[in-house]
Amino acid sequence: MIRCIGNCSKCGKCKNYALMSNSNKIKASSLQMPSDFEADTNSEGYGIAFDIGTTTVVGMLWNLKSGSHIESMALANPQSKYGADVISRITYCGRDEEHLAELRQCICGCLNEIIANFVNKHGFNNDDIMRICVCGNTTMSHLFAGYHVMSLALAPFTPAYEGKLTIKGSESWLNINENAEVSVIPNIAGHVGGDIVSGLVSVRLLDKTKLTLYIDIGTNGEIVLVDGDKAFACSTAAGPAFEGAAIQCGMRAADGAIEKVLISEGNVYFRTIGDCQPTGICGSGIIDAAAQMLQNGIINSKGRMTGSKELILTDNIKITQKDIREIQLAKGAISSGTEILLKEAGREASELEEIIIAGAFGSYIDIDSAIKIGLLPAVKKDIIVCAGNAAGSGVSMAMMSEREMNAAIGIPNMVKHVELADRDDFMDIYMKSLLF
Amino acid sequence: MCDATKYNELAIEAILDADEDAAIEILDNAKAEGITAVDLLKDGFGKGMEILGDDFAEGEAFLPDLLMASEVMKIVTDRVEEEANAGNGNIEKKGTVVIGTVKDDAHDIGKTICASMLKASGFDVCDLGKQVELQDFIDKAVELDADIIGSSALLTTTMEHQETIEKMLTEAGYKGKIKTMVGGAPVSQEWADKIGADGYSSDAISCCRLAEKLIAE
Repeated sequence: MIRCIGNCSKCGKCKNYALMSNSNKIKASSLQMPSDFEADTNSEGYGIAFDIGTTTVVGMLWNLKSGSHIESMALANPQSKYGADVISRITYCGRDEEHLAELRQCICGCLNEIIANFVNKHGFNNDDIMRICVCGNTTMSHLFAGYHVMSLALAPFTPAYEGKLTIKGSESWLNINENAEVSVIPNIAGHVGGDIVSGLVSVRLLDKTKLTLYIDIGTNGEIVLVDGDKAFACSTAAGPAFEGAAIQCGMRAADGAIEKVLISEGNVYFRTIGDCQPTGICGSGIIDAAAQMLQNGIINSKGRMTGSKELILTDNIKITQKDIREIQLAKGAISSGTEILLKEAGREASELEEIIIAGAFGSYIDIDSAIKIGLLPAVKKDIIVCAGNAAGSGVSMAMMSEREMNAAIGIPNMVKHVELADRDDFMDIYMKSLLF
Repeated sequence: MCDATKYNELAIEAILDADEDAAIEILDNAKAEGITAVDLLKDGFGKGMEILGDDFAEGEAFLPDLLMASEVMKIVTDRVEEEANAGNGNIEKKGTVVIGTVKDDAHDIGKTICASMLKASGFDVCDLGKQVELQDFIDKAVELDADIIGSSALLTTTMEHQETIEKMLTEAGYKGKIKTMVGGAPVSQEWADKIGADGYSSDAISCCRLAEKLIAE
């Protein structure tokens, strides 16, 4: 089997690469701050908060004087040319001493491009940029700051540094004021990074008094559970199925992607993003399709297609038995992570009082479908909320408020990281979670 | 020997349904008629595993099916061993496999399923677990006079250890005598060819078929 590396221009995931700018815009636009958030004001100049994702980088420009958000911009992470996932980029770093600097240069180049765009558009100088705050998964944080990443790809996945990083503007490889302060939000563990810490800040997760689950669904699914004064986090390898890769007709959430599927009385209905001609199916469409197939008995509770071995959506787009297996592996990873955190806390899924779904993906999936296939626990729909771009919101908050930054700094010490692979019951739980 | 046909059919069903209770009942009833577990192995339970393997290759059966069926198979092979110890028959083992996930790598679900399936299809299996020191693969294989070393690596960073195993095996003078097979998400036939491993398999079913092929060579 050929695995998609994200830039082959042949597979469903890649063929709409040119249309990705639309999904980038969506990612950039969904900041959600809590109503009681107050930015510090009266500093001179501008600040930019960055959320460095493995695939997408978002920059958020703020006015430090007025404490207001000016605009956001997203670009594809240019490190993708070294591999679509963090492990392949780490492997690249491991091959040669100089590769670490190369990857650092690459990501800083992307940040500088966003900086240049803001500077040109709003008519200020690079020297006016006095503050930068960066969050990312642990690998991205390391690469941005120039730390060795090899240990992140070898068990027990120990990061090369702990806590918040502070770098002087002149040493940051960024085109900003030399006295600017560059902060990097701390990570929780090797695969639970500062993007999660930022997300927790933006939804004030650790202030929750009720049993609350925070899920960020991506290639790596990160899950955090808060129960009173205890908090647990894990990361789980969901794989790229929800991003449309590893699915025969899968693609990213861009124009032409089937995003919604309904099966009624033997007829299959669907909707595409941008109401375009369908060119593939994206994550939310795949989740819908699986839920509808289950609902209509096209697949059984073990995921086996009972009649025809394919579900035909159009002449060129179909869901195969193998696609269903990929979905099972992905949703099983997320749901077994959830179950193990609940076990750590000695709680049951039925006791959950709130579920927060972070990331753009969470805003687009159909909650009923996600519950139907077991991606989310079987809870009442009204306790589930979508936090939008939680990481971007949180890193902005930390940049703009000392109080929020202190909250971010405290989080890694308050959250117990659970390594799923170290638990003897993981395999059993994972196998059970593969079923519908 | 009494007619084992009716039991064979039930045995196949018990495997496909992963029904432990049914398997025990079949073994007990057959025994009462003088039919041993070994008699039911080839055309009964073993046949069920073969059919399940084909279903898996087609995508019709899935990992939990394999794992649950291998639990049932464990009951059967335990019974076979009991009988052999009591002198009521013997079973020829297909060979011995030392298997593990290489050091620095903690992912072992795929490897564990392979180990279960190898056991279920009649191999003696020594599962070294995960994060296994590379020398331990060699030492254990030599100690047990094993036919095959199977190593699993789930990260592009750890698959390089599989190459080291080949080198260590060559240095120890066992290359060719002890066969090697490799697996894991980033691993491929090209990788196996590049490092000189004797075989690559993508899943537990092809792993069993590969092991049989390597031993027949």
